[in-house]
Amino acid sequence: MNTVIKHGKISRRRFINRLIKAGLSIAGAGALGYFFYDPVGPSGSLEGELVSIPDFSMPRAGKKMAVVRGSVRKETLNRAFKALGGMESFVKKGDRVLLKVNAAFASPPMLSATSHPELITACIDLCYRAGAEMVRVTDNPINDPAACFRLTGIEAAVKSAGGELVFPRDSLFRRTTVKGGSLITNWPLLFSPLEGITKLIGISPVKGHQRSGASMAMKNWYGLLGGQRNIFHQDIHNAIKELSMMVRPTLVILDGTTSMMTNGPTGGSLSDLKNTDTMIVSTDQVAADAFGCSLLDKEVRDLPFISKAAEAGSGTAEYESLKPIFI
Amino acid sequence: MDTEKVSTLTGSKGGSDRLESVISGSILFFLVIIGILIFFQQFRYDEDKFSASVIQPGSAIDTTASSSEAKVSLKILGLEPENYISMSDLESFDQYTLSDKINGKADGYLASGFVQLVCTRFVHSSNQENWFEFFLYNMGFPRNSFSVYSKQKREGVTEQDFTKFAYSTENAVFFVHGKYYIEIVAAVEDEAVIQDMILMAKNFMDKFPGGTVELPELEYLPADNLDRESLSLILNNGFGFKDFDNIFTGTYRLEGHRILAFVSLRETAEEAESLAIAYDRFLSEFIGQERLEPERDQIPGVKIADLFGEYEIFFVKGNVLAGIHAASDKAIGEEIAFQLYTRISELVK
Repeated sequence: MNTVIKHGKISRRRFINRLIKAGLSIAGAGALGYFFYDPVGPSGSLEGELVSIPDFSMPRAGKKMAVVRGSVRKETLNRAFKALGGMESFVKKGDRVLLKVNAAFASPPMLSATSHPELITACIDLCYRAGAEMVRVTDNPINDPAACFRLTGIEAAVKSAGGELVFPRDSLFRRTTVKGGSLITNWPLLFSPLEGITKLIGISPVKGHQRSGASMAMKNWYGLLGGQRNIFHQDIHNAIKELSMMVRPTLVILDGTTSMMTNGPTGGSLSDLKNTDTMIVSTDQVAADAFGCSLLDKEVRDLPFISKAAEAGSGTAEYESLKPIFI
Repeated sequence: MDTEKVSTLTGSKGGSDRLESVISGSILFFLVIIGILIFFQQFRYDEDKFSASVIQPGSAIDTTASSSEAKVSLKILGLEPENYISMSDLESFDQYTLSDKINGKADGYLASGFVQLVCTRFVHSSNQENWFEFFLYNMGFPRNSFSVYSKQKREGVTEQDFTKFAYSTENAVFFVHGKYYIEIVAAVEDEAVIQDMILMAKNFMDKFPGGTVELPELEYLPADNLDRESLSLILNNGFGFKDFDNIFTGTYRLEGHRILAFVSLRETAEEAESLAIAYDRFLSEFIGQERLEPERDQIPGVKIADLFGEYEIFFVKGNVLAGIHAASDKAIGEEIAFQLYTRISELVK
């Protein structure tokens, strides 16, 4: 009896006994939790290995940027590429090109919430003239994809220019983790349209954004993500930084012909827009955004994601260092 | 002696052990029950709760809304003007799915009491290019709907008089009807389409009467030099101060300056006073204000702070906290503040 409790104190044997039981209980609870742990969530799947987007940048082409003033998209785009040595400097004979457009909303082209169909047509045409074997266009819109591609005029534009439009569907998504990132981990990525591609071009409008301050070239890659991606709005600047780390494009086309100054990113009224008559083409997505923010009457310091992306090595926020060609 | 003591202790510990065992067993029992419930509940995941739903015309139940809201949703169909036909399904979005429709703008609505969005498109029967989308935001209360309306209001718009708070732009109509904030957005720029959309707005108001929006605080803002298009309601976190809620603002144009006046009606005079003290402390601690004296001694207890070249002027009258925010000119700011004080004094005894 005195081996159990002596003078009100627990015995060594009983203490060890209880310790072992408590340890087993904790371990059991942990094992049970691990058994039920679902890293994917209710609608996800974990098929195959994690994928990464290949690096489509062209270091040999160097860091280049052209800024062309004008109100006709086809003209300003042609002049911008002419200043950069032609589309042939970037797209070679036999290249397979993917245009990542912004078709986020089922909204008419005149509201400038999405990539303009005239610009997409002109870009596809330039790619084919440069010798591209195939030009593919895709996006994973916020709204219903069929309505988005149709009402934005993008579907008709792609068809008329001989491009291939890829609608997002579950089977086209794979999982990705951004190397060095902490937000985009094991996340669904619209990957299949990128397979077999040799050049990647982003085409995006210039828009104010109530959460991030602006939606331009880097934010455009948000449209490659799937899943409940709106959670990234909780840490939007770091999320955009990671998007810039996730995608190394051949070049970006930032359309500031009309900029959405207020009520972005959806807008809804022509009075939200301002004719800023500027087309930006750049091999450096960070530099493009650094210049693009001036169209929204903002400075780089107003948009923390630009500096964050620059610090992450995605490009330079000092666009002047690229010696941009202004026309 | 020792043996007796040990026996006594063992006896009392034995009772304690039994009590511990009963308590522990009960806790474990309830945890097991909870675990079993969670286990079975997880197989009943309802995807509809986490994605936009489509309301089929004629369907009786909208799974994301109360039955009365479902009826409102379905009654939108049929309100379109003559020569327009339905172009899309009726879509419904709740707090969880709103960003699936408006992405980065969702936060502003959610912070203002958003309940549900129902939207659909209509197209002209003889011109496929001519379509518009009707957005019906249920914001829960008229104050909330006025708040999102006012915060998004565009400049240089055409004020509409079919209801108290309404305007149109080149391609869209925006208005407040009770707890609803409505946007009707066209794909074309055409005055005839604007008139068609206004007709649908009127049809909606006729179908759902009683959508008045009473905002007595607006009466506290003196009419002289007030830009009525600028009237706005900040529901929370006004001017970066977390305790500032229900702040009505209006812009005054005087001698080339735009001066923002604000008014907040509190429950009691004591609450208004303590809020003013808290705001004064906030300015002092977080912004580093420099306290200034008024140029004229006309507003009892007025506080004036220099915030890096902009002037914050505020006072309490009865249960009203009011003032001027970030005035670019101190003298003009004080002038508007005095007019504000005079107007409030007429209404608050």
